[in-house]
Amino acid sequence: MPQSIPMTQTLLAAAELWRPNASANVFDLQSGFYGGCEALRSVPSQVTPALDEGPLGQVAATGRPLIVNELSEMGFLVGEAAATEGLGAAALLPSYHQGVVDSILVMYLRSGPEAVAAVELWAGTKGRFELSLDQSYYVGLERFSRISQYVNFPQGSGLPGQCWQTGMPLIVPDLATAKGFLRSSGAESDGLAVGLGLPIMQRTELRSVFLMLSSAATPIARVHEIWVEDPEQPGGLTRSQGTYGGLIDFTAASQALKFSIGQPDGLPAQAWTSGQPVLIDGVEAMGEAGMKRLDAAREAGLSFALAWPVVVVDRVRAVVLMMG
Amino acid sequence: MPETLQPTASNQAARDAKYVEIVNLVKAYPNPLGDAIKVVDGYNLTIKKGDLISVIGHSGCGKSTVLMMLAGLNPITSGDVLVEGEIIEGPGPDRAVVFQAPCLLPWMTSFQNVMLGVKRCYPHGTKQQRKEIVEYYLNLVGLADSMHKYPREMSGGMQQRVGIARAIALRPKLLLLDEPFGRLDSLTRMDLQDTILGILDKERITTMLITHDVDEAVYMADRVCMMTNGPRAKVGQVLDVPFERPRNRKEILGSDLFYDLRGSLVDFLAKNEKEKPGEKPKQVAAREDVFEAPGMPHEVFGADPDKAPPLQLFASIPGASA
Repeated sequence: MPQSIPMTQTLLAAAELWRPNASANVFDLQSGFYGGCEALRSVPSQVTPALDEGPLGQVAATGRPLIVNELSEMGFLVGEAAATEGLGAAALLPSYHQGVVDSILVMYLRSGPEAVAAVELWAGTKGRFELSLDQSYYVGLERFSRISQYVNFPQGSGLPGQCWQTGMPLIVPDLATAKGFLRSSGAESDGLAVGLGLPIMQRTELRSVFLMLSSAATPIARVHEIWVEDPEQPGGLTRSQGTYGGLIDFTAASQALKFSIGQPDGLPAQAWTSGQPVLIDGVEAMGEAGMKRLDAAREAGLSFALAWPVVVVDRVRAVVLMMG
Repeated sequence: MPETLQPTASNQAARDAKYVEIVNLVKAYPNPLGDAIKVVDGYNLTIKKGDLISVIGHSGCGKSTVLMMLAGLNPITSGDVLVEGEIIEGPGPDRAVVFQAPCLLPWMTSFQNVMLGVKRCYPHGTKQQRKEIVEYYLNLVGLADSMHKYPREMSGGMQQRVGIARAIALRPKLLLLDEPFGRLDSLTRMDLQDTILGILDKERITTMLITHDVDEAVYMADRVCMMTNGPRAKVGQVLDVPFERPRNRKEILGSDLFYDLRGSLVDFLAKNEKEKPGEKPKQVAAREDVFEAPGMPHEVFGADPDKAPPLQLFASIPGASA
């Protein structure tokens, strides 16, 4: 049954980070964020996903990301929990180490009558040098979803095409006014506000471009940041972009923030140094993980943090940090 | 048993999918004051055999420049155009052009105007065969009764029909239409659009249509290629048009999808609207909760495509080479 979404919650209801365990032929849960989704939290203790089964197994086998619109495909218990918690879909993103799937991030997204958001996977079109819509989950975006299936982007055009060309993530802070966001038909009237594009690269191959498009009222995450190597300070990380969903104090706390690669120095540095995603549940755990903006995060009511390294040719080129 | 050299169905389908390939096309003009001015820069497009692709963009963005390079009438600065796997070099009868003006020879009848090209393309045919070809195509464009009229005796719409018959009679691999309805009144325009669609449905000629008309672009095309503003114009977005052929104008104009697709094109054009001379660029109010570092990698490539990493690094899209 559709449930209303409290203003303090993000559309990202829960997330899990799974690692393939070849010797036991299963996936091990590395970390999880569940917000208020208690029904979902209890699932991993009851069922261990097999390495060659279900959507996780499919992502591990193919190396390709996946959007699951029917959550019962994730297993009976997940389907039950999804119905209880009002979840609409899951996005599964592989993270690679030396070209092999090293971990898989599962993002569970809420549904609900007032929700407005989209996640999309854009992939190469057979016989053409273009990206077209491969998989998607839309909520509250009827016109936008109708148009998107007919749109194709060449390299360098639109948000997917720009991520393809640069191999870098990109935030579009205001989809309605951004020149680079070309599908404004419907996006503006449907209330889409912030876009994040993430290239999913396996070594030199672009597997997909993953887009997260959020409205201001029901954001997938409230904070989006991109961290890159500081051109003025070798070994340091600096922000190239950030959107803070109206969290002015948190924005201020982020002003002069820098990180050092190789140091236990906050989430972007951890993800950069390890080349692996980092998922933190709860503000206390953020503190234990060395988060520098802890007071501002607590004040803003942030309850999860996800640092995602963008790896190209086995080298981290950026870290995307999402919080909500 | 020796391997057959016959193309398999899947090979043929793969070849048809890339019937016309425009690869990193560049047109630059010398500039005595500095670097050459790139009017078109990095134009990439693939056209499937038998498809009609319409190209739309603001005036002066370089649409016709692209078409003229495809026709071989304007030299390519760099990049390639391949038709059926062969790189084109200069003009040739495998590519026929219809311009906005019919460009008929005024001292010749419509029959003689069409015969000009037919003689060139069918040199081994008999006189009777060539006559039948000309009559067939003039009949196809609805000029069975006007074969022996001179241009001065025909309306603009009729003259344009002769121009279309002259182009199609060559049986080109690629038909290039450069705003062919631009000078016609709306009723004649619609009539001629349907005439061309009828012929293309029958003859399955791969076609590129340059147009300013959003409705025309959607109604006629299998795909609409939207060009960014020049200089350095390129393909901005390509829209698939899912309406079945033969097209039924009444049905299409009555469908919500037509207006969604049309809206998408209008939005694209509005976003790419050129600043008027003397007009200040629109300022977007700075937001306190947004941070953008100037000169960071995410901006470098957008500002200067030459600084982007080598294409091959990101070129290997699954399926793209299939």
